[in-house]
Amino acid sequence: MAVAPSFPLYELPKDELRWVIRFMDPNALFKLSLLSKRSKNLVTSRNWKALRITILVSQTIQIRSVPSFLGLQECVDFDFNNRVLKMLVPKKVLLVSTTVFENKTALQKALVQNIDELDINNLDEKLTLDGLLCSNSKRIRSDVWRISPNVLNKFLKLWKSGSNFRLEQLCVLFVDLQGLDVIMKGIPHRVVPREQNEQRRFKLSNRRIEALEGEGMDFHRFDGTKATVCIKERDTWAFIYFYVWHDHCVVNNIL
Amino acid sequence: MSVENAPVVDVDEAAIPVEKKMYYRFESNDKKEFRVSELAIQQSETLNRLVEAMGYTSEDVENKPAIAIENIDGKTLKLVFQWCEHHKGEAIPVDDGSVPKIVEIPEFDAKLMDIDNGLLFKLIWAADYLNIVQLLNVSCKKVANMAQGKTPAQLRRVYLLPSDEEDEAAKRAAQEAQDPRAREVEEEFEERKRQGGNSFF
Repeated sequence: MAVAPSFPLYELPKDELRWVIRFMDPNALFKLSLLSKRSKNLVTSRNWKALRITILVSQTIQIRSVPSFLGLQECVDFDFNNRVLKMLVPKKVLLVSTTVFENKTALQKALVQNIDELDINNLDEKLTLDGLLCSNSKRIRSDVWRISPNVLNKFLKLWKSGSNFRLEQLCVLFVDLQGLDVIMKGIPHRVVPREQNEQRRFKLSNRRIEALEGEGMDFHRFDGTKATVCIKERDTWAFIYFYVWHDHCVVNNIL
Repeated sequence: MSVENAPVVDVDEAAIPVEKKMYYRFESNDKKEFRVSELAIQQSETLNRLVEAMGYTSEDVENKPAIAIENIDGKTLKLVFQWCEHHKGEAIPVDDGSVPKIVEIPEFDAKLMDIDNGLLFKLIWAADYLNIVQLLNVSCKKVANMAQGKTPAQLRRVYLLPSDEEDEAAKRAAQEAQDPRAREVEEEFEERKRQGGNSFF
């Protein structure tokens, strides 16, 4: 017999409804809790505690046992995305695509939170210079940067003047190589030759250690904090790395 | 006497009286009758207690009217008793409080529950009413499985889940439907007070 497409879950008596809930896996429970206040109360009334969770949201939702990570990749529904971000602000890592935000304001709201690592896919014009300056993250990464080298240049100048105090690393991929020389325009810096630069190691807040690549361009903030820009140029694209040498980022006293 | 020292006696197995299996008769609310074995009934805590309390003999079972189960229709009861007969003699699971509860749906149960969701709804209700723990487990598991791989929007459709606005509207409608009666009771109470009565009832 063909199974009817729907089952009136909330018409079950309370006891049976709770019995069904006990069989649902954490993924389903989480999704159910997002649908209404009643659903949320039903799920939370069981008082189950998650010791560690990681949530990756794309077209589907998976909850895994690694803490403090939230991935929001595809735009299912702006309202849904906002609710997920409101309910599940991660402490450490937010992996997000700018397309999941309805507008610049929604994106900026996400950026101002104290998230250690912000990994942005499909970075588009929604991320303005103001948005970048609002960010309080230690590490910002993006796979595609669709704003101009001029904006990055302004950002570096503002950093020199004291913005983004917590920032340790900014890593962006430019697909348009025109105007890469604009990035350091007006910023006095010292070029560190490749051989010397590649001896340097950078320790990220997540304790990972990265080796610097290519030439380095060193400059300082008003308070003496040193930073290095590395440009890894390829055929049609380039990675720009901006490292800030906080004391805890220096490895083997080489900076 | 130890086992080793016990005398060995040849036993004529045919001479041992075999207790006749007893089949109880039940009737659904739409007057369908079912004969269910005593062992199968043990799967239902409610029915097991009922027949124990009745203390029927084999003659009583045949001569007295079938035991009426007034809340369950024949179609649902047929499934319930098919399940009980298939699983008769099996241990009744004890709830260990584990979350999420792990239950496998056996092939027989999966086929039995290959039914429309309306009937599945009645089956869950009947399993709870008759306190058949394992049937409740597998039927609820089937409903929980409907959530697998669904997006929140799909879940809303599958389980017919109302939004907050719909819940609010239903609550208001229920209050409005209740108010006229509440007003009537209040008016009646006031009228009796005016007439000098001390008791409302």
